[in-house]
Amino acid sequence: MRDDTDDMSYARPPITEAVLELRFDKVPDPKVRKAAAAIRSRYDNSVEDVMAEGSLDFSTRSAKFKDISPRFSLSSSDQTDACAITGVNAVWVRLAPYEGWAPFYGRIESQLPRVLKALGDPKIGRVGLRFINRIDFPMRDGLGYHEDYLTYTVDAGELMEPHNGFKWVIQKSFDSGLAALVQSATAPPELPGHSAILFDIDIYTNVDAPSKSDDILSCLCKMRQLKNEIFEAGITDKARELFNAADN
Amino acid sequence: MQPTIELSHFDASPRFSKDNSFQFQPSKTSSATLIPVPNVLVPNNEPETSKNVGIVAEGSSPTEQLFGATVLAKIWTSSVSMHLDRKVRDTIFRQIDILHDADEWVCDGEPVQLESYKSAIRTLVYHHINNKPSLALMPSGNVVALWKDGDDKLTVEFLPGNKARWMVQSTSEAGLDRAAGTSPIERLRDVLMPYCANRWFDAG
Repeated sequence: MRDDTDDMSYARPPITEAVLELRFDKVPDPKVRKAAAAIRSRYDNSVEDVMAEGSLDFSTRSAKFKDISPRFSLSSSDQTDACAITGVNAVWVRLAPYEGWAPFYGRIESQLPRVLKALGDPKIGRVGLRFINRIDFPMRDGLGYHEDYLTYTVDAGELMEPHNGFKWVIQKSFDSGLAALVQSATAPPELPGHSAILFDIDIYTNVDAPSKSDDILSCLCKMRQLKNEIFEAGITDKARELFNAADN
Repeated sequence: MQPTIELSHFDASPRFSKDNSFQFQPSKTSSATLIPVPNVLVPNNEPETSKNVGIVAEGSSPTEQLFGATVLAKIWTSSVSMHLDRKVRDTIFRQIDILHDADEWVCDGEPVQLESYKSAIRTLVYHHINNKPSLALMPSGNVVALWKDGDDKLTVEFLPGNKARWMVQSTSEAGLDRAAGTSPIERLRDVLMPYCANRWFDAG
């Protein structure tokens, strides 16, 4: 079932990266190659990386190398849509500008069955859906008041405020079988006169993770719903004003 | 006994693609660099969902270097794309691709330098510039933007570190004015105000 509702959409969503990752039991290289070939025509660029692990033994002055699974990376010409497949995972990525859930989900919906079939329908160990948001906000009196934009804050107390940066991580498991890894940190500003914070929401399941396309797609919609709830609970109205501002 | 060093994901040779219609031709000595993705281990040692899966080809051939430079620029642009007009972004990408066309490339120049490119894009965002400039590259790889208003011209070379070297040719009733300077990018509208910067920066 596809969830087309985008009632939380903003004029300028702060999403810089949306990621779906499936982790699975090791798949032989020929099947990985076949999976990449199955969707190659959907992308403008394709790269195959031959990977190896190496070890150096200084006592004997020798080196050993062991081939590991190649990695196939596919991307659109503007690099916003990408997919990478290895022998242990498949990742779909959308970089900003994020155009909404529908096109991202639509791409996955059309490619996932082909990839899984080519991989031989491996057992999926983990499904992860991650949205990385970047909030750029104007500084005030030379300081960045991140608490004006995020409700989850770190109160460092009088001694440590103002500080030079923060980072926090929260992990929570829900009764639904989904878990959330939520992170936030100050980020290097990209705009003059602005501060920036990252608000990173990673929803995953590794307990009875679905392995069939339809089940994975259904799971994604539930994950996205949870992500939206965490996101909306984590931002302030001032942040919403930023995301809806008409001028960029 | 001397300790051994375990190197994981050490890039071996050669890298190749099956389909020669790709935008670059890997050489035998090519290598690709994964954009660093530190795995953050959190309570319960649950590594996070992978991110930044983009591959940037660093290879030794000019074509690979050109491709790698444009990919870096485009991927970085995603970090500010939410602030950038979509049409302006698409035009910039198109121009960057044209400037890095391997068939037209002049061998003694550098591809686009990322830090100069960042200064250029930050300028467009910070000053809300929606009038698309023509782009060029200096031999150093610095991005140059050109705006025209009749015979009047504004040329800006974007330097690393949010700086810009600008040059104006502007006609007034008294005759032709030429001026040049170097400024922080956030000051560009102010320093160009005597020459009516809005006619270059603001479309329509």
